[in-house]
Amino acid sequence: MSAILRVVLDALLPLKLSEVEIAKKLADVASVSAADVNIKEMEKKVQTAKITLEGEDINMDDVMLVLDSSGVSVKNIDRVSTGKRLISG
Amino acid sequence: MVSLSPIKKQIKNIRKYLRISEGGGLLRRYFVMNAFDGVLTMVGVVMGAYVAGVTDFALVIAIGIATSVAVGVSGLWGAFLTEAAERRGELKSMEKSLHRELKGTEIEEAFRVTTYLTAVVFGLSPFIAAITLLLPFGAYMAFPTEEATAQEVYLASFALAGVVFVLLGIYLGRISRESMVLSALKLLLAGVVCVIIIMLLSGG
Repeated sequence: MSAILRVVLDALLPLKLSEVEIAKKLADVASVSAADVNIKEMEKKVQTAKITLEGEDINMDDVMLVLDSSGVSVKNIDRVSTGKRLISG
Repeated sequence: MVSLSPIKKQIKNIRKYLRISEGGGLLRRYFVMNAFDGVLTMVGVVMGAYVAGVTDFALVIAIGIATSVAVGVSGLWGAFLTEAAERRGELKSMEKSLHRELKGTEIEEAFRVTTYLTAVVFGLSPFIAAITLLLPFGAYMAFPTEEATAQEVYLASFALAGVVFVLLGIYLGRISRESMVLSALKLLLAGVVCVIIIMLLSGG
């Protein structure tokens, strides 16, 4: 099966959680080489974030486990890039 | 990542949990408040024994320990019940906003740890603060001496109460970044007021 090189998630983060820590935890996942947490909107108790992950072969189970145990709610997988190289743009 | 010793790791975890639950400030505030409660309650007990002219210190110690246990259990129980209810409500409202359950997550763990920690701190702080005032009586019984009169032992206990008030005041002053002397005096005043009222009531 071909490898996941990049994935973009639409997520809800509890306000109490530090986005810095979430980003660090995601980058600590062995199959993730780069993580980007981009806060889009802040509400009373939650903030919406666009989470972008890149790697050679991202293990989505590991990623979801980290997000789940932290209390992040993944609303949608907005974009998935697979194959031998990334399509630019 | 640097490897941390288990204890250091636990402390780091607790700090993180307190940050998530925003429980650090609460712990500090109520640590002082409950310790203050404990000392003042014991000032009442010791003062009562003093105006009643009790010279049997075993009696003072027995009543004092029972009172310390009671204020300790009161702090622990009250804190646990209210904090657990408060956190449950908060978790439910967060679950609603996030459209998911938070069972087994770091947030639930943070709330749980904070609840237990609050109960322990709320129980121990008044207990320790209260039992401190019994030290002179215990010391007198362990090392009986002709030189100290019963009145001096009572005075030593009140002096200890004063020391605890001042220490708590200094701590409060540090939290509020205000004058430590002023905040120590404010707490000390409560002890003095307590003593004066008891004196007036007992007709002394």
